[in-house]
Amino acid sequence: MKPLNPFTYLKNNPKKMLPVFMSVAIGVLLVYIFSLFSATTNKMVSVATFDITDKYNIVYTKDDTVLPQDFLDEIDNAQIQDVFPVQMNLSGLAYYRGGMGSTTITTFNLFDNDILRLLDSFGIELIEGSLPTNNQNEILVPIEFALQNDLAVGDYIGTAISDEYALQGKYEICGLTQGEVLFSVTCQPGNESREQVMSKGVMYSIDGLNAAKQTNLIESLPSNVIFITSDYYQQEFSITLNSMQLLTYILTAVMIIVLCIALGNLNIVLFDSRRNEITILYSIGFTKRELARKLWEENLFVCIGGYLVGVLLTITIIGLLNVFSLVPNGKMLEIISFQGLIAAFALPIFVSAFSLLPSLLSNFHSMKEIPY
Amino acid sequence: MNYQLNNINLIYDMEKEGGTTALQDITLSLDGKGLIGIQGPSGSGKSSLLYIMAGLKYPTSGNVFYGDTDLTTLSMSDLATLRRKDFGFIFQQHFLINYLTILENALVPLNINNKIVKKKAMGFLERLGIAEYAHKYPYQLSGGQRQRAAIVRALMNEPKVIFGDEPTAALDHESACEVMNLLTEYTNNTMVVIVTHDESLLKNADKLISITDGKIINVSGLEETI
Repeated sequence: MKPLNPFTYLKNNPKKMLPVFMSVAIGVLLVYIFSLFSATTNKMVSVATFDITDKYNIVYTKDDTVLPQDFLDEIDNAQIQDVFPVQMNLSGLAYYRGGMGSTTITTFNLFDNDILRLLDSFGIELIEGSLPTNNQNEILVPIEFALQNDLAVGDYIGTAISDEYALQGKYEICGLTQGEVLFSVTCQPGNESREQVMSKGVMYSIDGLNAAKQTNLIESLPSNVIFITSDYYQQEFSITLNSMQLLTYILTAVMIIVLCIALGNLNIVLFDSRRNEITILYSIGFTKRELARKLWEENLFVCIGGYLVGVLLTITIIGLLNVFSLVPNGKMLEIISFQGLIAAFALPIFVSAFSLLPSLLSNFHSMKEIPY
Repeated sequence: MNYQLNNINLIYDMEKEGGTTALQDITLSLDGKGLIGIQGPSGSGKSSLLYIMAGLKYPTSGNVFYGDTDLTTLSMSDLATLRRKDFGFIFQQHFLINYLTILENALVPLNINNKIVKKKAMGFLERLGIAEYAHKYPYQLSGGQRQRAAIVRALMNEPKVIFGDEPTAALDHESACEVMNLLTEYTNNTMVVIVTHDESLLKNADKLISITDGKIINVSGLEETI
């Protein structure tokens, strides 16, 4: 290792660099934890909404009238793989994931002979109980929802049981599902036939439909028709999700400013204690640029070390929290967020450079005349 | 390499009334090897003269030619490069880097750590009698041993000129003589410029420059211009 290699200094002066290392590690921990909460909220919204519309579009009338025949004919002619008659007349279920706020799990009102195909298309498994049957007031819910509300197969939910539910009436939980996409399913078609329901609401697979075709299908629908697509959810959630993202950036920026000021002062003290070393290196022929680079590299490596430890510490803390507290209760925080990792990475980069500036400017300026 | 100093003046604190004159109308020429002693009382300007010759200070006026290069026209960065390439330094305080071993300190000017330079450094350390301390830190050595380590560092880049600013001030007389003898060994091919207030250490000097109140009052041993 070269004598002036930054690692030589770090290896021999761990105590001096500890405050910078710890400060960055804690800063990264705070930023990354917030990012994980933000990512968890994103994931919560995604599994309950976007992940459904990635595979299916849902079109129905809000006033119980029939859909335009042209639209239904086009659905017929498009040779779509899965088309399910659906009634969107039931409220959803509240879902918490552990991030910020909650979202609603959609309740699909389907015919019982469509359920298995729908679950299969999402890779969702029935892990306990049975599928609901028509007009039996049974409901299939995700295991996460059951765990969060301390419910099991055979328990009842709905407004008739508790005001905490938005789902009107009383439904028996007949089965629990497990998968990457969350929704609940009941089968309450009443006396309506499959064709009658299909004429008012349809859930169709968009696999094999290009974007233009998807748009064509819904663009001429009248105003009493609601179509749930990715765009629909995008409009609904974009402000909230973007705000959280912005908050992550603001938090990162604040953390950078605070650390730069605090560590800037600390670096002045550290630099002062190394004045002899810097002076002698300058005297024997190292340029200010080389010395500034050496100091920056040392600072950078310490900050990167702090970043790695901060990230690992966060992952460990969140992992333990998941294992021992959240997962048993049907919740789970994300432990990896690429956006969070990138946002937190701004800390060592900016702090390593800007926290060094005050000491470089003040000391290198006075080095014009070396005080021997 | 020859030195030519023409009408060098150095005034500190020029913004204050009159300033403080450290060097006044110094004109001097030196040829490229031998032991050059600069002596004078404290505050006489001898260190200032050495720093100007070494490119560590710019004079207020005048020119310093090192060979064909006028040091006063070089940028700080170019001066630093020149110092690293051509000069070696030994200071009053040994100024070793405390967190590096003696061997690593010796390698600092080259900032290389391979078998060849390590062998070279070990050769110098051996010659100066401190090879056994190669892997010790400066604070584990005596003042004399540290100063020898500083000499090794000054020799590592095979300098054309070695500057020593009171290199023996922190040593007892015996160690000081020993250090001076070591430096004298390198004067056949190298110019060694030593500033000291102890005239007895310069008995082997090829040229002796006496300076008082910023002026050269005597150059002995050769035909230098005052």
